[in-house]
Amino acid sequence: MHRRVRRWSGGLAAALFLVSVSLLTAEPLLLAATAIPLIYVAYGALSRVPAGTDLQAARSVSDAQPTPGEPVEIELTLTNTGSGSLTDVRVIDGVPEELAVVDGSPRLCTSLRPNESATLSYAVMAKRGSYTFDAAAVRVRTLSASDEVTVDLPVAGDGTLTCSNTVSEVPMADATLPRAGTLPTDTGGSGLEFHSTRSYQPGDPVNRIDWRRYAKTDELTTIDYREEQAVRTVLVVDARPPARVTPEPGFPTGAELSAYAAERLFDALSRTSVVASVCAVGLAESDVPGGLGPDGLAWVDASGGHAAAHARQVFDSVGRAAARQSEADAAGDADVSGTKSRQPPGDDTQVTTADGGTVDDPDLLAVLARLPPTAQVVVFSPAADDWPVSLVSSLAVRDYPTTLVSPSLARGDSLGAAVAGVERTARLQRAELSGATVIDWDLDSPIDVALRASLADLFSV
Amino acid sequence: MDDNTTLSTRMPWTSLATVVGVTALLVAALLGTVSADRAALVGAATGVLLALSLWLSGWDRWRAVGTVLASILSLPVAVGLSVASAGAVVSLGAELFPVSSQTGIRPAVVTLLSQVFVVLGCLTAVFGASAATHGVVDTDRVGTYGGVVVRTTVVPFAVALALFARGAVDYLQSNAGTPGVQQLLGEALTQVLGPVFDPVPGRTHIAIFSLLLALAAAALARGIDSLPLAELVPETSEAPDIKGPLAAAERTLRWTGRLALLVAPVAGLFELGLGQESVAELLPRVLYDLIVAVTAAPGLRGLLWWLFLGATAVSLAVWFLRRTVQSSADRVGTVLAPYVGGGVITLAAVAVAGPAVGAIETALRATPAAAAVEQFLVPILDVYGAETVTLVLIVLALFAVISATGQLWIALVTSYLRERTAGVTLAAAGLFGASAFAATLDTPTWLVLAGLVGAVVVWDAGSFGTTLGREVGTGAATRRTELVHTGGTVAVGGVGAAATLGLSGIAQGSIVVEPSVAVAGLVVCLVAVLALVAAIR
Repeated sequence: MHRRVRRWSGGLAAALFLVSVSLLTAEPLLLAATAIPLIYVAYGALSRVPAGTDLQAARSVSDAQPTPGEPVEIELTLTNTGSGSLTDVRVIDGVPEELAVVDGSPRLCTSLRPNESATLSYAVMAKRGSYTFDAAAVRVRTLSASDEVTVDLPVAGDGTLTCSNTVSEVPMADATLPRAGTLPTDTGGSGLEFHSTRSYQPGDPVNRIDWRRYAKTDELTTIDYREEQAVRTVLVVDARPPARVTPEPGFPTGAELSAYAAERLFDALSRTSVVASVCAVGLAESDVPGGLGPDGLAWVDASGGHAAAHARQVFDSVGRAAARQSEADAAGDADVSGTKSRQPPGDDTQVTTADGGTVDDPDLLAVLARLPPTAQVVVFSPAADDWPVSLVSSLAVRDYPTTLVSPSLARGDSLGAAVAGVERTARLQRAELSGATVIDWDLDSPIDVALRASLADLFSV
Repeated sequence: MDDNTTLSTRMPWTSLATVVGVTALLVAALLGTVSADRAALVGAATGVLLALSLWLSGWDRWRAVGTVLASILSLPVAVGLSVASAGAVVSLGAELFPVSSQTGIRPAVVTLLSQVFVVLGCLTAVFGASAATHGVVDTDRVGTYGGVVVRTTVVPFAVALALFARGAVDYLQSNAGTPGVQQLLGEALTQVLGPVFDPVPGRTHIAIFSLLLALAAAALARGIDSLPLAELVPETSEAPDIKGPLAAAERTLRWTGRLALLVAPVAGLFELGLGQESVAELLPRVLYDLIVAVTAAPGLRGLLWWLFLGATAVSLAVWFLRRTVQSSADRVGTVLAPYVGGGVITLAAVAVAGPAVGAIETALRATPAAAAVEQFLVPILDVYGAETVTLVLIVLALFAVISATGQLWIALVTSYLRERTAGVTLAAAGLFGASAFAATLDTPTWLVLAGLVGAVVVWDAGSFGTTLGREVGTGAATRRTELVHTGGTVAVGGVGAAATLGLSGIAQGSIVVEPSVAVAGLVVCLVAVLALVAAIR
């Protein structure tokens, strides 16, 4: 697109002003000085963008498949392949709207001689999903800035950034269990570890008859082994509005990180034949395809068909809810500094305290009501408020083996971040005191490391 | 590339440094050519203060504090503006006049006006460059600042008006015996105010007394009604019930007022129609004496008058408090701040009135207007006092600030000044005008040409930087392009300056036309400038 900018027209008025003052004061120098504004008018009128202008752009992405929350370096190189010098070249890289630039600027203004290149580098915060970069917007101006050409320049090189949850490495790949279940019980039956012997009863498997004893005493006895049952594992993702906090704009929210950690664990558990259910708390009806259950929970049972696909839908729903919240915040011009938790207006604030003893939070009651009688529970929450502690305490009271995986959101040295960090640490300590295993996931280390620790604890491998 | 991005519209550092640096250098050099040093320095400082005031009036973080400071700063801005314009005229008038011959008057006037325009141009340039650093010249902010100055002016204006009225009344009453208009006015005032506050003793004044009583009773009833007395008493069984007595008192006062209002015309008719003798005959002696004693007592009337004033003040205060408690503290602070600033300005003016007026008088006596000082200023000071005169001068100076702000606002609203580049446009216009007028003084040619080219460079660097900041943002590396662009503009200016020097030899002596032709040409040029500016916009 070519455009003329009439920015030097004021020179005519300036020239007339000089003529006026010259006449008023009979000063001939001012009459001659009209040459100055007039020459600028001519300068603006005669300047044109040269016809043979040609530019090429190439983009490189440092890590095309990063993990969420990881900054990705991007470089865009612009080369003047035309024959003339370009004094004013402005370029804006086509960063996908969803990705936030966290370092540097995707914009550049420079001057380029023929065959000279300029590189702009910046970093975006990786988010879950696949994103395609647009063409770079380039504007070339003349030296007088009175003539400009704007084009969308196709960019060679990397054009996509994919941040997926494909499990490249199963966290517990070396712990494939050749057993029916992983939880040792105190009852005898089939298994590996010796438990007791008892009198033979008709129907007992032949391979469990103690033949040596029969040879010695001529009595049929049956050996019982310690039974290992498969227990259900329920992954509870805290996606309530207070958990949708983010330390910096563009950074994944606490709810998204929780969902990510839960998804990694779900994938790992699926491969180790552990029966896992997924539950997301605090989603809106519109966030989940097919809507929520009657109790307001997004619950995927392991026993249902296509459990993995449904679970993935629930994890995606958490991302949608976080995106909806950030849009609402942007509309309301909300301040997103620090990691201070925010309650949306109208939100039910009846959150029980960890030591309150009474449970009147509807989400918490719904989770407790829905849990199967024997289950291990892994709660994923940034612990931005007391809700996860209340849940963990309530589960401990009901003898559920519980683990709390909490992504640490505190970043920066601001006072708000420090206060939020102290509050979170106190909550995690309270959760630990109530009997739960607490995994404090520092975002600088991969979630797999934290999950290995949690899996080792969980399944006593 | 979208022009309507949400990036900061601040210009990059290199452009900003060019604008500020070139402006500062040229202003320093141009002000050096002006002989009114003090006015020049004050003018430059006023430019910075005006930009600071604009920034303060839009300070979102501490809105109330910013408004108070902007309000208080309007005094130095007003004084600075007056010193830079009127002060420069006075100072140069004392220096350039009297002239030795009649032919010397025109050059002296041209020199005086040129120097004043140079000072005002530099003031504008400093203001524009200072404002450009934070982009504070926009319609909303200028409108807000104008509102702040208007509300600030209200207090000194009201006080000055009151002092002026008091001085006028005192003067007229003191001159009631002298012939002329003053006598007539003085007598009229005495006739109006005398019966109200200083009644003739020994006769009845029922009508006027009733009117005063009605006014006082109505105001008192309203005052009691507005006060939250009943709400302040604790709601316990032991607490006295004051609602009933309060209602009774209010009712009594209202009825007293109505009755007094009814009595006033009837009594007036009797007093005027029948005369005092008939009234004395109609009434029993004791009653008549009592009425005379009550209605003609100046003390009682004074009491009624002050009751009226007090009750009205209470009603207004309660109304104001009821309004303010419903608003946020910041909002209340923002609304009240200019009045507080106006109060501070008034107190400051009263405090420095004597020395200030003395300094003005001394400065004026050194000018050709010394005779006028003796003829007008001294009698005015005698009648109204230094405080009133100082306040009136301050109010006039504040009006000048309001006028300048209003013109700026109109220029912004009508898009003659674009918000994005308003600061640099003002800076460039100020420098250009100052350089042009400096050419008529004993300024070196190189400085005039540097001023003209520098003005263009300031505007160009500023507007280019603003566009750059909008399109690319201040976070990107843009220095190289800015330097290349500014270098091009300076080079073209150099060619223009060289052409000027070449042409000036040819133009020497070209303006030897008759003054009438020159004036006609001037008018044509001015009309052409206006038409061209309108066409460009």
